[in-house]
Amino acid sequence: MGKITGYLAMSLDGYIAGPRDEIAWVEEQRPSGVPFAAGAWAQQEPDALGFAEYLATIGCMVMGRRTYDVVTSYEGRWPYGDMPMMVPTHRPLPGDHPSVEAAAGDLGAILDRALEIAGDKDVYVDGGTTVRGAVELGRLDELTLSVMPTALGGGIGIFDGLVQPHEFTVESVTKWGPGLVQMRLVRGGPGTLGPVPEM
Amino acid sequence: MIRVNALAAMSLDGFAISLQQLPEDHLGTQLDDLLRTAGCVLTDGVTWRDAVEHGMDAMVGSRPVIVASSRPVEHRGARVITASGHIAGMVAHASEAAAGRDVLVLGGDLVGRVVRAGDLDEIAVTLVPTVLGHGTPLFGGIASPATFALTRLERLDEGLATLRLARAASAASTARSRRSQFAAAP
Repeated sequence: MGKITGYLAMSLDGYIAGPRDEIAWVEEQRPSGVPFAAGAWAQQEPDALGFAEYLATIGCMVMGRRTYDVVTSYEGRWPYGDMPMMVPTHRPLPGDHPSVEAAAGDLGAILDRALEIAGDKDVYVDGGTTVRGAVELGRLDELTLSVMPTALGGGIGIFDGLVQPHEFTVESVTKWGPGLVQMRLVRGGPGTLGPVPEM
Repeated sequence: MIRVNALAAMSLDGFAISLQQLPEDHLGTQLDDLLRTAGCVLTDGVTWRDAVEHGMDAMVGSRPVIVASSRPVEHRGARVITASGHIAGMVAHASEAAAGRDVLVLGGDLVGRVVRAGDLDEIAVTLVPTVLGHGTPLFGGIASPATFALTRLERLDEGLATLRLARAASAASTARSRRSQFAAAP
């Protein structure tokens, strides 16, 4: 059976969007011309898990309703092709994507169904509420976080509303794109990791 | 030009974590590295008390230590003074005491105040892979997004990652200079 995973970009302080769902801060052009990285770290070759590479490991998605509405509001081609997708919601879904279905019921049952659909591939949960829900249920097995070196100070937090501490183990930290940091986290407390040269 | 640098630890959801929760050898290495260019330490009462308890106050040596506190604090041979009031004033005081060298800010709450005042040049922040759910946001209350460049990355065996982040060149120093000019104007 596959794993339940997430793939998100977040600000340094844990936000995935500004207060009004703004994601412009994720764009490459930065205010004041500040590069993403300088010095030795900027010279490292990117070796992170790209989104296309990640999506190839996925057999089914569970996307939060808010995120779905935002994605379908963008002009252009639907980015997920015919990937099976479940959207936890009681309301009709906009758009015309045959592989997407509205899913009622509790998140745990929806995740179980998604794992069945995914077969021996993994499930991708997307959207703050859905990722949080999976963390709260103890069902999020892996999380790939691309950390932007920008602190927002407020906005939509990935982990907003969680009241109990949750621990992860950092499996890898790699360079992504023009100097961003990508962390792959697995569920559970710190494990034993091999030393990595300082960059 | 005097730089204001900080050392902090933070959860994945952006809450400050006590430096004493970091592995001792890693904390010692980070402190040693940042103290190399520091002429003065600016910290808060809780962080200083923890440093004294763990014997890390000795690392400060003869550098002056300004503790943001209205109560007396322990000091064993260190040049410690307490201060209170607006953070800009304390940073200015520390900058003067640093005698041409950098200021090192320690303590999550104080680091947050320095960030909000726009006075931070560089920060070494260790990301602890824990979601806390509550606490003091390290970057809470900033008026606009704080943009950094990543200059160094270190991953620790304990599953931690320390990011060295620098603000846009002279952004913080320019802000401090501007405040000085306005303060000096008749």
